[in-house]
Amino acid sequence: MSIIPFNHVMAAHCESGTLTALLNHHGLKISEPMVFGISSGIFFGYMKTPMLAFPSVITRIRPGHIRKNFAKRTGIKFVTKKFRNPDKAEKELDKLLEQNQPVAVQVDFFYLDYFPSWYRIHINVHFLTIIGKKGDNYIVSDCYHPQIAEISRSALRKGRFARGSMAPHGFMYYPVNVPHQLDFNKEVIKGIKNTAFNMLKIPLPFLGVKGIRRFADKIVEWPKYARDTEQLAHEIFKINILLEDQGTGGAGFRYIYASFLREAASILNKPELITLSKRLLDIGDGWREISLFAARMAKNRDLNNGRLREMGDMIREKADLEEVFFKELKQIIA
Amino acid sequence: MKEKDLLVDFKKHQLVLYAEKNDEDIGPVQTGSYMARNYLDEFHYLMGNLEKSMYEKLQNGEISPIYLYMTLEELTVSELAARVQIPLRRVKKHLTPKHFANIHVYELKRYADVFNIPVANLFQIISTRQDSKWRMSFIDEEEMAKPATISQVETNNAFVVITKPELNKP
Repeated sequence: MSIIPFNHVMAAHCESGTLTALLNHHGLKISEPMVFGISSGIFFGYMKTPMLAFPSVITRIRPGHIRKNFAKRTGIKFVTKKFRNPDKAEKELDKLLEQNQPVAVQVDFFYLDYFPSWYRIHINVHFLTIIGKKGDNYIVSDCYHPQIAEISRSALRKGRFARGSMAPHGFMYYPVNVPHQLDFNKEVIKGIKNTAFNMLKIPLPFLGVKGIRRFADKIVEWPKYARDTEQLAHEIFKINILLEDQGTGGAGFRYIYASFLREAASILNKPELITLSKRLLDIGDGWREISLFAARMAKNRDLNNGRLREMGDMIREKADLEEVFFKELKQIIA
Repeated sequence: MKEKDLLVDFKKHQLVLYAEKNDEDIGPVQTGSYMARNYLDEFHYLMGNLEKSMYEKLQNGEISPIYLYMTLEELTVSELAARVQIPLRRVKKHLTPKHFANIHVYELKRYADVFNIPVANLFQIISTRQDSKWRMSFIDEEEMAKPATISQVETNNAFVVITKPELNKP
Protein backbone atom coordinates (compact mmCIF):
# COMPACT_ATOMS: atom_id res chain seq x y z
CA MET A 1 0.00 0.00 0.00
CA SER A 2 1.22 3.54 -0.60
CA ILE A 3 0.96 6.97 0.94
CA ILE A 4 -1.86 9.29 -0.12
CA PRO A 5 -0.51 12.70 -1.17
CA PHE A 6 -1.52 14.87 1.79
CA ASN A 7 -0.45 18.35 2.81
CA HIS A 8 0.85 17.81 6.33
CA VAL A 9 0.93 20.93 8.53
CA MET A 10 1.16 21.44 12.25
CA ALA A 11 -1.92 22.97 13.83
CA ALA A 12 -2.87 24.54 17.12
CA HIS A 13 -5.33 21.87 18.22
CA CYS A 14 -5.76 18.24 17.21
CA GLU A 15 -9.52 18.13 16.64
CA SER A 16 -9.82 21.41 14.74
CA GLY A 17 -6.46 20.87 13.02
CA THR A 18 -7.33 17.39 11.80
CA LEU A 19 -10.74 18.52 10.58
CA THR A 20 -9.25 21.54 8.81
CA ALA A 21 -6.60 19.42 7.10
CA LEU A 22 -9.20 16.96 5.81
CA LEU A 23 -11.47 19.73 4.53
CA ASN A 24 -8.51 21.39 2.80
CA HIS A 25 -7.55 18.02 1.30
CA HIS A 26 -11.06 17.80 -0.17
CA GLY A 27 -10.75 21.23 -1.71
CA LEU A 28 -12.47 23.54 0.78
CA LYS A 29 -10.24 26.46 1.62
CA ILE A 30 -10.81 27.13 5.30
CA SER A 31 -8.57 28.07 8.20
CA GLU A 32 -8.30 26.34 11.56
CA PRO A 33 -9.57 29.42 13.45
CA MET A 34 -12.65 29.48 11.20
CA VAL A 35 -13.36 25.79 11.86
CA PHE A 36 -12.82 26.40 15.59
CA GLY A 37 -15.03 29.46 15.68
CA ILE A 38 -17.91 28.05 13.64
CA SER A 39 -17.87 25.03 15.98
CA SER A 40 -17.97 27.27 19.09
CA GLY A 41 -14.79 25.60 20.26
CA ILE A 42 -13.84 28.05 23.00
CA PHE A 43 -15.10 27.29 26.48
CA PHE A 44 -14.10 26.93 30.12
CA GLY A 45 -14.76 24.30 32.75
CA TYR A 46 -13.39 23.49 36.18
CA MET A 47 -13.41 19.71 36.53
CA LYS A 48 -13.13 17.53 39.58
CA THR A 49 -14.24 13.89 39.12
CA PRO A 50 -13.13 10.44 40.35
CA MET A 51 -11.71 9.79 36.88
CA LEU A 52 -9.23 12.62 37.28
CA ALA A 53 -6.25 12.27 39.59
CA PHE A 54 -6.48 15.97 40.46
CA PRO A 55 -8.82 18.90 39.71
CA SER A 56 -8.30 20.21 36.22
CA VAL A 57 -9.52 22.82 33.77
CA ILE A 58 -10.81 22.55 30.22
CA THR A 59 -10.75 25.47 27.85
CA ARG A 60 -12.65 24.00 24.89
CA ILE A 61 -15.97 22.26 24.32
CA ARG A 62 -16.48 18.54 24.72
CA PRO A 63 -14.17 16.48 22.46
CA GLY A 64 -15.89 15.38 19.28
CA HIS A 65 -18.20 18.38 19.28
CA ILE A 66 -15.99 20.55 17.12
CA ARG A 67 -16.66 18.18 14.21
CA LYS A 68 -20.33 17.65 15.17
CA ASN A 69 -21.06 21.36 15.47
CA PHE A 70 -19.21 22.12 12.25
CA ALA A 71 -21.15 19.44 10.38
CA LYS A 72 -24.48 20.60 11.81
CA ARG A 73 -23.90 24.26 10.97
CA THR A 74 -22.36 23.88 7.52
CA GLY A 75 -24.33 20.86 6.30
CA ILE A 76 -21.12 19.10 5.24
CA LYS A 77 -21.59 15.36 5.65
CA PHE A 78 -19.15 13.11 7.42
CA VAL A 79 -19.03 9.35 7.39
CA THR A 80 -18.47 8.35 11.00
CA LYS A 81 -17.94 4.85 12.35
CA LYS A 82 -17.30 3.13 15.65
CA PHE A 83 -16.33 -0.49 16.08
CA ARG A 84 -16.53 -3.18 18.76
CA ASN A 85 -14.06 -5.38 16.90
CA PRO A 86 -10.48 -4.08 16.33
CA ASP A 87 -10.00 -6.42 13.36
CA LYS A 88 -13.05 -5.00 11.59
CA ALA A 89 -11.88 -1.46 12.39
CA GLU A 90 -8.51 -2.18 10.85
CA LYS A 91 -10.02 -3.82 7.78
CA GLU A 92 -12.25 -0.80 7.19
CA LEU A 93 -9.30 1.57 7.63
CA ASP A 94 -7.20 -0.40 5.14
CA LYS A 95 -10.06 -0.45 2.64
CA LEU A 96 -10.44 3.34 2.82
CA LEU A 97 -6.70 3.89 2.46
CA GLU A 98 -6.70 1.70 -0.64
CA GLN A 99 -9.43 3.97 -2.01
CA ASN A 100 -7.06 6.92 -1.42
CA GLN A 101 -9.27 8.24 1.36
CA PRO A 102 -7.37 9.78 4.27
CA VAL A 103 -9.17 8.96 7.51
CA ALA A 104 -9.29 10.76 10.86
CA VAL A 105 -9.14 8.47 13.88
CA GLN A 106 -9.53 9.06 17.60
CA VAL A 107 -6.82 7.58 19.82
CA ASP A 108 -5.34 7.54 23.30
CA PHE A 109 -2.30 9.83 23.04
CA PHE A 110 -0.26 7.55 25.30
CA TYR A 111 0.40 4.95 22.61
CA LEU A 112 1.76 7.35 19.99
CA ASP A 113 5.40 6.31 20.19
CA TYR A 114 6.58 8.81 17.57
CA PHE A 115 6.41 11.34 20.41
CA PRO A 116 9.02 11.33 23.20
CA SER A 117 7.94 9.29 26.22
CA TRP A 118 7.84 12.27 28.60
CA TYR A 119 5.26 13.96 26.35
CA ARG A 120 2.77 11.09 26.30
CA ILE A 121 -0.17 10.93 28.70
CA HIS A 122 -3.33 8.87 28.87
CA ILE A 123 -5.94 10.98 27.14
CA ASN A 124 -8.45 9.26 24.91
CA VAL A 125 -9.40 12.25 22.79
CA HIS A 126 -6.54 12.85 20.42
CA PHE A 127 -7.31 13.04 16.71
CA LEU A 128 -4.96 12.35 13.82
CA THR A 129 -5.17 11.45 10.15
CA ILE A 130 -4.05 8.16 8.69
CA ILE A 131 -2.75 8.71 5.17
CA GLY A 132 -1.15 5.42 4.21
CA LYS A 133 0.35 2.11 5.14
CA LYS A 134 3.86 0.76 4.72
CA GLY A 135 4.24 -2.90 5.63
CA ASP A 136 3.02 -3.25 9.20
CA ASN A 137 3.17 0.48 9.94
CA TYR A 138 0.61 3.18 9.32
CA ILE A 139 1.60 6.58 8.01
CA VAL A 140 0.25 9.40 10.13
CA SER A 141 -0.34 13.09 9.67
CA ASP A 142 -0.52 14.25 13.29
CA CYS A 143 -0.88 18.00 13.57
CA TYR A 144 1.12 18.00 16.83
CA HIS A 145 4.13 16.45 15.07
CA PRO A 146 6.41 18.51 12.80
CA GLN A 147 6.67 15.79 10.16
CA ILE A 148 4.63 12.91 8.84
CA ALA A 149 5.16 9.99 11.23
CA GLU A 150 4.83 6.21 11.36
CA ILE A 151 3.08 4.09 13.94
CA SER A 152 3.04 0.33 14.24
CA ARG A 153 -0.15 -1.59 13.68
CA SER A 154 -0.17 -2.81 17.31
CA ALA A 155 0.36 0.67 18.79
CA LEU A 156 -2.39 2.15 16.65
CA ARG A 157 -4.72 -0.66 17.64
CA LYS A 158 -4.01 -0.05 21.34
CA GLY A 159 -4.62 3.67 20.87
CA ARG A 160 -7.85 3.22 18.94
CA PHE A 161 -9.28 0.72 21.41
CA ALA A 162 -8.11 2.05 24.75
CA ARG A 163 -10.92 1.94 27.32
CA GLY A 164 -11.76 4.38 30.10
CA SER A 165 -13.12 7.93 29.96
CA MET A 166 -14.25 9.02 26.49
CA ALA A 167 -12.94 5.78 25.02
CA PRO A 168 -12.45 5.98 21.23
CA HIS A 169 -14.13 2.62 20.38
CA GLY A 170 -12.23 2.70 17.09
CA PHE A 171 -13.90 5.96 16.05
CA MET A 172 -13.03 7.18 12.58
CA TYR A 173 -14.44 9.74 10.17
CA TYR A 174 -13.95 11.40 6.82
CA PRO A 175 -15.92 14.07 4.98
CA VAL A 176 -17.90 13.44 1.80
CA ASN A 177 -19.22 15.82 -0.90
CA VAL A 178 -17.25 18.77 0.40
CA PRO A 179 -18.05 21.98 -1.50
CA HIS A 180 -15.06 23.98 -2.70
CA GLN A 181 -16.62 27.16 -1.46
CA LEU A 182 -18.95 28.12 1.33
CA ASP A 183 -20.58 31.34 2.37
CA PHE A 184 -19.76 31.29 6.09
CA ASN A 185 -22.03 34.13 7.07
CA LYS A 186 -24.79 32.14 8.81
CA GLU A 187 -22.39 29.58 10.24
CA VAL A 188 -20.20 32.25 11.84
CA ILE A 189 -23.20 33.91 13.45
CA LYS A 190 -24.49 30.61 14.83
CA GLY A 191 -21.03 29.75 16.11
CA ILE A 192 -20.63 33.05 17.93
CA LYS A 193 -24.15 32.94 19.43
CA ASN A 194 -23.57 29.44 20.74
CA THR A 195 -20.18 30.44 22.17
CA ALA A 196 -21.72 33.37 24.04
CA PHE A 197 -24.42 31.08 25.41
CA ASN A 198 -21.87 28.48 26.53
CA MET A 199 -19.74 31.03 28.34
CA LEU A 200 -22.58 33.01 29.92
CA LYS A 201 -25.75 30.99 30.26
CA ILE A 202 -25.13 27.34 31.13
CA PRO A 203 -26.67 26.98 34.62
CA LEU A 204 -23.87 24.92 36.13
CA PRO A 205 -21.41 26.51 38.56
CA PHE A 206 -18.28 24.91 37.07
CA LEU A 207 -18.83 25.82 33.41
CA GLY A 208 -18.30 29.00 31.42
CA VAL A 209 -17.49 32.23 33.24
CA LYS A 210 -18.86 30.64 36.42
CA GLY A 211 -16.28 27.88 35.89
CA ILE A 212 -13.47 30.44 35.78
CA ARG A 213 -14.71 31.88 39.10
CA ARG A 214 -14.91 28.40 40.59
CA PHE A 215 -11.31 27.75 39.52
CA ALA A 216 -10.33 31.05 41.19
CA ASP A 217 -12.09 30.01 44.40
CA LYS A 218 -10.92 26.42 44.50
CA ILE A 219 -7.23 26.78 43.69
CA VAL A 220 -6.52 27.55 47.37
CA GLU A 221 -7.87 24.08 48.25
CA TRP A 222 -5.44 22.23 45.98
CA PRO A 223 -2.89 21.47 48.73
CA LYS A 224 -5.38 19.14 50.44
CA TYR A 225 -5.60 16.95 47.31
CA ALA A 226 -1.83 16.51 46.97
CA ARG A 227 0.09 13.76 48.72
CA ASP A 228 3.11 16.06 49.17
CA THR A 229 4.65 19.34 48.03
CA GLU A 230 6.19 17.74 44.97
CA GLN A 231 2.87 16.48 43.68
CA LEU A 232 1.30 19.90 44.30
CA ALA A 233 4.17 21.53 42.38
CA HIS A 234 3.62 19.08 39.51
CA GLU A 235 -0.11 19.87 39.40
CA ILE A 236 0.47 23.63 39.51
CA PHE A 237 2.94 23.22 36.60
CA LYS A 238 0.14 21.54 34.70
CA ILE A 239 -1.86 24.76 34.72
CA ASN A 240 0.74 26.13 32.33
CA ILE A 241 0.65 22.98 30.23
CA LEU A 242 -3.16 22.96 30.04
CA LEU A 243 -3.30 26.62 29.03
CA GLU A 244 -0.30 26.82 26.72
CA ASP A 245 1.24 23.53 25.80
CA GLN A 246 -1.40 20.90 25.27
CA GLY A 247 -2.65 22.09 21.89
CA THR A 248 -4.57 25.30 22.60
CA GLY A 249 -2.88 27.74 20.23
CA GLY A 250 -1.85 29.68 23.33
CA ALA A 251 -3.72 31.21 26.30
CA GLY A 252 -6.33 28.45 26.54
CA PHE A 253 -7.63 28.91 22.97
CA ARG A 254 -8.12 32.65 23.47
CA TYR A 255 -5.56 33.55 20.79
CA ILE A 256 -7.02 31.26 18.13
CA TYR A 257 -10.53 32.55 18.88
CA ALA A 258 -9.21 36.12 18.50
CA SER A 259 -7.95 35.09 15.07
CA PHE A 260 -11.41 33.72 14.23
CA LEU A 261 -13.04 37.03 15.26
CA ARG A 262 -10.65 38.85 12.93
CA GLU A 263 -11.84 36.69 10.03
CA ALA A 264 -15.46 36.96 11.18
CA ALA A 265 -15.21 40.77 11.09
CA SER A 266 -14.46 40.61 7.41
CA ILE A 267 -17.11 37.98 6.59
CA LEU A 268 -19.88 39.76 8.50
CA ASN A 269 -18.65 43.25 7.68
CA LYS A 270 -18.56 44.13 11.38
CA PRO A 271 -15.37 46.06 12.21
CA GLU A 272 -16.42 46.01 15.89
CA LEU A 273 -15.27 42.41 15.91
CA ILE A 274 -11.72 43.54 15.19
CA THR A 275 -11.81 45.61 18.37
CA LEU A 276 -13.12 42.60 20.29
CA SER A 277 -10.45 40.46 18.71
CA LYS A 278 -7.76 42.80 20.10
CA ARG A 279 -9.45 42.73 23.54
CA LEU A 280 -9.41 38.95 23.50
CA LEU A 281 -5.71 38.98 22.66
CA ASP A 282 -5.18 41.12 25.77
CA ILE A 283 -7.29 38.75 27.86
CA GLY A 284 -5.22 35.91 26.44
CA ASP A 285 -2.03 37.71 27.47
CA GLY A 286 -3.49 37.80 30.98
CA TRP A 287 -4.03 34.03 30.91
CA ARG A 288 -0.47 33.62 29.71
CA GLU A 289 0.73 35.64 32.71
CA ILE A 290 -1.22 33.28 34.96
CA SER A 291 0.38 30.23 33.38
CA LEU A 292 3.88 31.71 33.73
CA PHE A 293 3.09 32.65 37.34
CA ALA A 294 2.02 29.06 37.97
CA ALA A 295 5.23 27.70 36.45
CA ARG A 296 7.40 30.00 38.59
CA MET A 297 5.45 29.15 41.74
CA ALA A 298 5.89 25.46 41.12
CA LYS A 299 9.57 25.70 40.22
CA ASN A 300 10.34 27.70 43.38
CA ARG A 301 8.00 25.54 45.50
CA ASP A 302 6.36 28.81 46.50
CA LEU A 303 3.01 27.16 47.11
CA ASN A 304 1.73 28.72 50.32
CA ASN A 305 -1.83 29.88 50.83
CA GLY A 306 -0.92 33.50 50.08
CA ARG A 307 0.50 32.63 46.65
CA LEU A 308 -2.48 30.47 45.80
CA ARG A 309 -4.82 33.32 46.77
CA GLU A 310 -2.81 35.64 44.57
CA MET A 311 -3.25 33.27 41.64
CA GLY A 312 -6.94 32.97 42.49
CA ASP A 313 -7.27 36.75 42.29
CA MET A 314 -5.58 36.81 38.90
CA ILE A 315 -7.98 34.12 37.65
CA ARG A 316 -11.01 35.93 39.08
CA GLU A 317 -10.00 39.04 37.17
CA LYS A 318 -10.07 36.99 33.94
CA ALA A 319 -13.59 35.83 34.79
CA ASP A 320 -14.74 39.44 35.10
CA LEU A 321 -13.07 40.45 31.84
CA GLU A 322 -14.48 37.47 29.95
CA GLU A 323 -17.98 38.05 31.26
CA VAL A 324 -17.95 41.59 29.89
CA PHE A 325 -16.30 40.42 26.68
CA PHE A 326 -18.80 37.68 25.85
CA LYS A 327 -21.75 39.92 26.71
CA GLU A 328 -20.48 42.49 24.23
CA LEU A 329 -19.83 39.80 21.64
CA LYS A 330 -23.40 38.57 22.02
CA GLN A 331 -24.75 42.10 21.56
CA ILE A 332 -22.76 42.74 18.41
CA ILE A 333 -24.09 39.57 16.77
CA ALA A 334 -27.67 39.91 17.99
CA MET B 1 0.96 38.74 21.90
CA LYS B 2 3.32 39.54 19.05
CA GLU B 3 4.91 36.80 16.99
CA LYS B 4 8.45 37.82 17.96
CA ASP B 5 7.55 37.53 21.67
CA LEU B 6 6.31 33.95 21.27
CA LEU B 7 9.17 32.43 19.32
CA VAL B 8 11.26 29.98 21.34
CA ASP B 9 14.19 27.97 20.06
CA PHE B 10 13.50 24.40 21.22
CA LYS B 11 13.39 21.68 18.60
CA LYS B 12 12.50 18.80 20.98
CA HIS B 13 8.96 20.10 21.45
CA GLN B 14 7.32 22.16 18.71
CA LEU B 15 3.81 23.55 18.72
CA VAL B 16 1.61 26.08 16.96
CA LEU B 17 0.47 29.25 18.72
CA TYR B 18 -1.56 32.15 17.36
CA ALA B 19 -0.01 35.61 17.49
CA GLU B 20 -0.14 39.07 16.01
CA LYS B 21 2.00 39.09 12.88
CA ASN B 22 3.93 42.09 11.63
CA ASP B 23 1.02 43.35 9.57
CA GLU B 24 -1.28 43.24 12.65
CA ASP B 25 -3.02 40.18 11.34
CA ILE B 26 -3.31 37.16 13.66
CA GLY B 27 -1.95 33.91 12.38
CA PRO B 28 -0.28 30.60 13.28
CA VAL B 29 3.31 30.56 14.47
CA GLN B 30 5.30 27.35 14.77
CA THR B 31 7.61 27.64 17.74
CA GLY B 32 9.40 25.65 20.37
CA SER B 33 7.56 25.23 23.63
CA TYR B 34 8.50 27.84 26.24
CA MET B 35 7.36 25.52 29.01
CA ALA B 36 9.39 22.58 27.77
CA ARG B 37 12.53 24.63 27.19
CA ASN B 38 12.47 26.22 30.63
CA TYR B 39 10.83 23.61 32.81
CA LEU B 40 11.36 20.19 31.25
CA ASP B 41 14.32 19.58 33.59
CA GLU B 42 12.06 20.34 36.55
CA PHE B 43 9.42 17.97 35.23
CA HIS B 44 12.03 15.24 34.85
CA TYR B 45 13.27 15.96 38.38
CA LEU B 46 9.78 15.68 39.89
CA MET B 47 8.82 12.56 37.98
CA GLY B 48 12.26 11.03 38.54
CA ASN B 49 11.87 11.50 42.31
CA LEU B 50 8.42 9.99 42.17
CA GLU B 51 9.75 7.04 40.20
CA LYS B 52 12.62 6.45 42.65
CA SER B 53 10.33 6.55 45.66
CA MET B 54 7.83 4.23 44.00
CA TYR B 55 10.53 1.69 43.10
CA GLU B 56 11.82 1.77 46.69
CA LYS B 57 8.34 1.11 48.03
CA LEU B 58 7.92 -1.68 45.49
CA GLN B 59 11.15 -3.36 46.57
CA ASN B 60 10.21 -2.98 50.24
CA GLY B 61 6.94 -4.73 49.61
CA GLU B 62 4.82 -1.67 50.45
CA ILE B 63 3.07 -1.40 47.09
CA SER B 64 2.34 -3.66 44.15
CA PRO B 65 3.61 -3.13 40.59
CA ILE B 66 0.05 -2.15 39.64
CA TYR B 67 0.15 0.73 42.11
CA LEU B 68 3.56 1.78 40.80
CA TYR B 69 2.56 2.03 37.15
CA MET B 70 -0.83 3.51 37.95
CA THR B 71 0.88 6.30 39.87
CA LEU B 72 3.61 6.92 37.30
CA GLU B 73 1.07 7.06 34.48
CA GLU B 74 -1.19 9.37 36.54
CA LEU B 75 -4.27 7.21 36.39
CA THR B 76 -6.89 7.14 39.13
CA VAL B 77 -8.09 3.78 40.41
CA SER B 78 -11.49 4.37 38.78
CA GLU B 79 -9.93 5.21 35.42
CA LEU B 80 -7.60 2.20 35.62
CA ALA B 81 -10.50 -0.11 36.44
CA ALA B 82 -12.43 1.23 33.45
CA ARG B 83 -9.44 0.74 31.18
CA VAL B 84 -8.58 -2.80 32.25
CA GLN B 85 -12.26 -3.81 32.53
CA ILE B 86 -11.74 -5.33 35.98
CA PRO B 87 -14.17 -4.46 38.80
CA LEU B 88 -13.05 -1.46 40.87
CA ARG B 89 -13.10 -3.44 44.13
CA ARG B 90 -10.71 -5.99 42.65
CA VAL B 91 -8.38 -3.36 41.18
CA LYS B 92 -8.13 -1.72 44.63
CA LYS B 93 -7.02 -5.07 46.03
CA HIS B 94 -4.41 -5.48 43.30
CA LEU B 95 -2.75 -2.28 44.49
CA THR B 96 -1.51 -4.15 47.56
CA PRO B 97 1.28 -6.78 47.51
CA LYS B 98 -0.92 -9.26 49.43
CA HIS B 99 -3.66 -9.37 46.83
CA PHE B 100 -1.35 -8.90 43.86
CA ALA B 101 -0.15 -12.40 44.73
CA ASN B 102 -3.61 -13.73 43.80
CA ILE B 103 -3.86 -12.01 40.46
CA HIS B 104 -4.84 -13.99 37.39
CA VAL B 105 -2.55 -14.11 34.38
CA TYR B 106 -5.22 -12.67 32.09
CA GLU B 107 -5.55 -9.72 34.49
CA LEU B 108 -1.80 -9.17 34.36
CA LYS B 109 -2.03 -8.97 30.58
CA ARG B 110 -4.80 -6.38 30.75
CA TYR B 111 -2.78 -4.22 33.13
CA ALA B 112 0.34 -4.61 31.01
CA ASP B 113 -1.52 -3.55 27.87
CA VAL B 114 -2.88 -0.42 29.54
CA PHE B 115 0.52 0.46 31.00
CA ASN B 116 2.12 -0.36 27.64
CA ILE B 117 4.72 -2.69 29.11
CA PRO B 118 5.52 -6.39 28.63
CA VAL B 119 3.87 -8.60 31.26
CA ALA B 120 7.38 -9.53 32.41
CA ASN B 121 7.96 -5.94 33.58
CA LEU B 122 5.39 -6.43 36.32
CA PHE B 123 7.88 -8.83 37.93
CA GLN B 124 11.18 -7.08 37.43
CA ILE B 125 12.89 -3.74 37.70
CA ILE B 126 15.16 -3.04 34.78
CA SER B 127 17.92 -0.89 36.16
CA THR B 128 19.69 -0.17 32.90
CA ARG B 129 18.25 1.59 29.92
CA GLN B 130 15.23 0.12 28.14
CA ASP B 131 14.21 0.80 24.60
CA SER B 132 11.77 3.69 24.60
CA LYS B 133 9.06 1.52 23.05
CA TRP B 134 8.10 0.23 26.49
CA ARG B 135 9.12 2.59 29.19
CA MET B 136 8.38 6.13 30.10
CA SER B 137 11.94 7.25 30.62
CA PHE B 138 11.71 10.34 32.71
CA ILE B 139 15.29 11.47 32.61
CA ASP B 140 16.43 10.98 29.03
CA GLU B 141 20.04 12.10 29.48
CA GLU B 142 20.60 9.68 32.37
CA GLU B 143 19.08 6.86 30.38
CA MET B 144 21.21 7.61 27.32
CA ALA B 145 24.36 7.54 29.44
CA LYS B 146 23.80 3.97 30.63
CA PRO B 147 26.14 1.46 29.00
CA ALA B 148 23.58 -1.15 28.03
CA THR B 149 20.04 -1.23 26.73
CA ILE B 150 17.52 -3.93 27.39
CA SER B 151 15.35 -4.35 24.37
CA GLN B 152 12.21 -6.44 24.54
CA VAL B 153 10.75 -7.67 21.29
CA GLU B 154 7.13 -8.75 21.00
CA THR B 155 6.39 -12.25 19.80
CA ASN B 156 3.22 -13.84 18.52
CA ASN B 157 2.63 -15.03 22.09
CA ALA B 158 0.98 -12.09 23.84
CA PHE B 159 2.58 -13.02 27.19
CA VAL B 160 6.14 -13.48 25.96
CA VAL B 161 8.84 -11.04 24.83
CA ILE B 162 12.40 -11.77 23.73
CA THR B 163 14.70 -9.88 26.08
CA LYS B 164 18.04 -8.86 24.62
CA PRO B 165 20.75 -6.87 26.35
CA GLU B 166 22.71 -4.74 23.93
CA LEU B 167 25.77 -2.65 24.53
CA ASN B 168 25.22 0.98 23.63
CA LYS B 169 27.60 2.42 21.11
CA PRO B 170 29.70 5.22 22.71
